[in-house]
Amino acid sequence: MRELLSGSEEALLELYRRHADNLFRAAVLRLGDRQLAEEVVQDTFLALWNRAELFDARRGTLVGWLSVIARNRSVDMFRQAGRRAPSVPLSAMLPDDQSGNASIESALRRAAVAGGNSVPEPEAALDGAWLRTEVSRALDDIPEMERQVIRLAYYEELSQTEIAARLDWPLGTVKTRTRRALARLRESLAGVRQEQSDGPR
Amino acid sequence: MDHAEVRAFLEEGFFQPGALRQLDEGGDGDDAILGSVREHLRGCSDCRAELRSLRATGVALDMSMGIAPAAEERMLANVRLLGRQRSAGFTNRASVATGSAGSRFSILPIAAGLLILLVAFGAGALLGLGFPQAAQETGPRLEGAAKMLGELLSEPDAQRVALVDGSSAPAGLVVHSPARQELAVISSMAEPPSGSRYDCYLERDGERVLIGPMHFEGDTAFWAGPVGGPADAGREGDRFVVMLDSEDEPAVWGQF
Repeated sequence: MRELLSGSEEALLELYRRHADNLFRAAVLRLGDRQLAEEVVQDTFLALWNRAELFDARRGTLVGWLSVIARNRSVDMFRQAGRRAPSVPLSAMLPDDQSGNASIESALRRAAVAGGNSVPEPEAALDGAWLRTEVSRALDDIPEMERQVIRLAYYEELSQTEIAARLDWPLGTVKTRTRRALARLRESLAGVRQEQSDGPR
Repeated sequence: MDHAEVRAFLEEGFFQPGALRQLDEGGDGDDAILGSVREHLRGCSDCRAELRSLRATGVALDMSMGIAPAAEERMLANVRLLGRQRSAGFTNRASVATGSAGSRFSILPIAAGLLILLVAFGAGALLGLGFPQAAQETGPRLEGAAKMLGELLSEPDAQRVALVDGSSAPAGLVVHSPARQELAVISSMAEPPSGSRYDCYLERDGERVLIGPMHFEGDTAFWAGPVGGPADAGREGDRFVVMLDSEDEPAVWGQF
């Protein structure tokens, strides 16, 4: 923090690398949208940069302080986007008539609380970890080539043309594999949902 | 639009940040395709379910993968553009205050909007940043403001002042060159109520000098031009304030 106060971007980056992922995941769970969640993270680190003097280690941890800023910003966004439809929980993958099978949704909610608190409750933290594990498992179920396409398109934000160049595949192949990968991922996640209908373990 | 076209649109949107969210927003300036998709969704529960499913898949992926690597660069760019200057040698200090509730402003669109303008008008290289570039139609007034903004940023004496709103949330950026006695401002503040306008002022010791009216194009509020008033505008303690013509309290402000 001392280095940050003296204007070190490296210090800021170190803190970002340490905390951004957790703040992002919590914001995604609250807002159901990765772009808004990234805005929350951006605002949180801008606030850290601008207001670092206000952080008092005697009153709490840095992660707690950042979590409060992120949570407040998420609430702002909800208010600001009052006309926007509410976020969509993972359980929305369920057909409407199966609303009783809401284990993933409740895990998401509890995990969201875990992500937003400086000291998450053990059960909520477990839910968050469970969720990540299950989704990772679902990803593992799809062929490597398709997983790679999903990763490049979604996570690394590459266009299909860029993916074609990166992997040296024809553009048509990228399009086909992207489509197939998405379908298979959704199928795989549906399997997770089914398996966990009695609640996360 | 038929089912297949809508589903192709949704699948493509799945990989583009913010694309599916656009379907909720219903702004007047949206393109025809978006309008057609919305219309189809209103009457088709199957495609609505498809949309819900895709969104939920996105949340699941986000939970698993975490924040995109490119977000780190965007965060840094955001801080460089809109953060206070901490290292020695800079002249400006952003207003620093606590509190965050109720903001109407969003920092990322401000930064992205600024970058779009700078890239569009050839000044992006000044900042060396990597924001996604999006097409944005602009009128001649906004083009002029963007051009001046780019020029001012390249001035060695450029002062950058972060704007905040009434709840201390980031609200925009002012760039001022004392040597040129010119200033440009960009903000995401909402348009004033019909029949009202926002005016920009330089404030010193409680006295305000009118700079000019804030203009609005799309989601961008802006003004650019010569700074009237004191020749040494931008000295420590001066404030840039934007006020609704019918109110006494600033809507947004920043301190030099």
